[in-house]
Amino acid sequence: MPKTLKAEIWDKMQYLFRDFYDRMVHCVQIYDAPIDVAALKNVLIWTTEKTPILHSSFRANAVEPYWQVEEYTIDDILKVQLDCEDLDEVVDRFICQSIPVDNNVQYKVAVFSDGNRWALAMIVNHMCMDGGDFKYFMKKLAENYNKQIAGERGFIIKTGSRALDEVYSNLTEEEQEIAKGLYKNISAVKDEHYFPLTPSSKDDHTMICKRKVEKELFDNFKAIGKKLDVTVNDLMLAFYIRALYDIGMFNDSERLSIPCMVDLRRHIEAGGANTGLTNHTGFMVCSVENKGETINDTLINVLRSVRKSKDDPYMGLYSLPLLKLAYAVFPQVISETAIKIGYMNPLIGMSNIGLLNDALLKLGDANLIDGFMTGAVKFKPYMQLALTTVKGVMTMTIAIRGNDEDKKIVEKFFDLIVKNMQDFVELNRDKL
Amino acid sequence: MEDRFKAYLIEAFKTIAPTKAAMEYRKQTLKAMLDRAQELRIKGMTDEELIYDTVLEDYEDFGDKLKEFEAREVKVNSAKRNVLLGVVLSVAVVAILAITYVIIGVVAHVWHPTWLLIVGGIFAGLLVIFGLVGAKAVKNKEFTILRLLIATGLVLISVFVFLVLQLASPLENVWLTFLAMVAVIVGADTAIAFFVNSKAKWIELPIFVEIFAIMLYVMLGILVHIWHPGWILCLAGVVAALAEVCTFVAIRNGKKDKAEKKKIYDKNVKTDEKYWSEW
Repeated sequence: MPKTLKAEIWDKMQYLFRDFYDRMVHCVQIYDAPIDVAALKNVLIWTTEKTPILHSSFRANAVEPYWQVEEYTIDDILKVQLDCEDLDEVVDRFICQSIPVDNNVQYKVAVFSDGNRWALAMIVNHMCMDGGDFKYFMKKLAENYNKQIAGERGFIIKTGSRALDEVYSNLTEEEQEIAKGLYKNISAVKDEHYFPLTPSSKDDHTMICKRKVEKELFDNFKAIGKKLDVTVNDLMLAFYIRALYDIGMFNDSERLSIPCMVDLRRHIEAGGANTGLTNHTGFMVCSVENKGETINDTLINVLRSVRKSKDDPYMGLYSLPLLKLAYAVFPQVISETAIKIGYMNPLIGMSNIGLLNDALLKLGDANLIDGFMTGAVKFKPYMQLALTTVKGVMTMTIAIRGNDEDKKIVEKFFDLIVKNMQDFVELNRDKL
Repeated sequence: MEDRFKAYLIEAFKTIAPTKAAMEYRKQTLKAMLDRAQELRIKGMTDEELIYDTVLEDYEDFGDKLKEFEAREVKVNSAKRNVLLGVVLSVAVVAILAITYVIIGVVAHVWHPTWLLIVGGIFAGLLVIFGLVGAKAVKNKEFTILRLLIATGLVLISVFVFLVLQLASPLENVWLTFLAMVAVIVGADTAIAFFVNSKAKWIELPIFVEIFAIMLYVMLGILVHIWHPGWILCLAGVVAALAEVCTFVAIRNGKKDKAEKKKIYDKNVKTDEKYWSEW
């Protein structure tokens, strides 16, 4: 009899999101020296063996969906091509694919090289893990790889519970009681602003648009932010929101609400180090009353909204009891319909994935020189900006299914964000 | 690889007695280890050291397993034999009842309603099976199965009681058995809810009270024609159900008020040492 695993609530939720995006999380890491493929193979198999969800197929049973553990070989997971003519193009093509839920493995890794640079690319089904655990996964992959080439043992990958209830593990009993009663539907954001992409067409295809922020510019606005006691996330929200007003041609006095992804592991014991690989992402809503005269005014508006969320000890935990109730009371086919009625996927979002630590992602002698991580490829009209930083360089990514015209719109949008960064630095140069 | 696994197992098995069972368990474990190593090679793992370590990682708690193995109570496995005995006995009882039915029919020319003997035998057999499955369900805490079995069992009993009363007694209106059956099924289900301390118990209780009142009203109305003022029973059922719900909410509120009062006192009246140091 095949071995099965329980489909947790977030697995089912991410499955439901198939209507809004392609369910893949993407990561690309570029190195300056060769990667030992044999060592990587051994480490990948070890990791896959310890994480059954990664070699399981999702069975969308109408009553109770589940994962069925499947057989696999390393060829199902790893692809190697060391004679690429155009490395970026090959990497792009690899990460723009989607793994079907009924596939025997739920993640794919590739090693590509053009002789000068070596790329480690990975895509994984969002139902298995979110950006937070993806970062953890990549770090442990590097750590275990380094142990393997050094002939050391003691590989590590977390294998705890993937249950949604883990999210309450660091709360006191009293706080848990309150958190488990937060039935408010936070997805019902009263905002119908959307990113001005073209209507869906047959030319639409998966694309991950990227823009790097120069190190000097990033360092400057980060330094000013530090003086003002403002986080990079708050600053980026301000740059992003201001650019949205411009690209969307929204009225300057209109209220604009943007959901910003938050890692719920802040509520989990040991920051989620003892759970299994899974999703623990919620969101806080940043609502600005108006665009503001200058970028500083936009920042003040952002801070006024964000403070409310930051002061809330239950940030990101709203709606979870409602989801749990829906999945507990009804069979899958009914709960999915009920949630679809009540859930409104945010039209515009932002996710600050943060730093890809080059020291922790080093593979033997190969140093991380570039890279990014981004979320799922959104279907129109949805869009999300993802941010990652490698060696002091920030990469903005927007993953969408669109056409060349959409690409131009996104490029223009990146220009506007960068301009806001420059304006901010100019306006606050005295604080540098 | 095999020798290394054997060496590992020799060490590990030193903690338990060298019995035939231990030898068989050791052989079985060695085979599982070798199979696992082969599987890892097929998957693409090439580092033999890593294969060895990965296989042993699956046996991290093997010491505990061995302790459990030695401490296990080896019982005579009579389950299958008991099932066989049960089947033989059931067939024998049904056969005896069938033979009795035929003998009575042939000797006394009474074929009706003696066939109830056979129906009763079959129902009794089913109830025994329900009892066995129900006991297992209780053991496995599968209370939904238990509830279904009890409801089905009560339906069988009600049907048999109805048939006996209808065919072998002068009583009238014996169909009222089925009205009583509804109240009994809901009552039994409520009792199970209390027995297993289900959250639904406080919802089931007022439903049972109301259904019981309605069934009693209808039965008394038909049997002794007290439709009026018998209808008061239905309203009394509603009042009783509402009283139960009110009491439940009041008790719950009382508990919450008490907890909140304590919290308010702790926060606003009690001296907190953290006041002097925390910002």
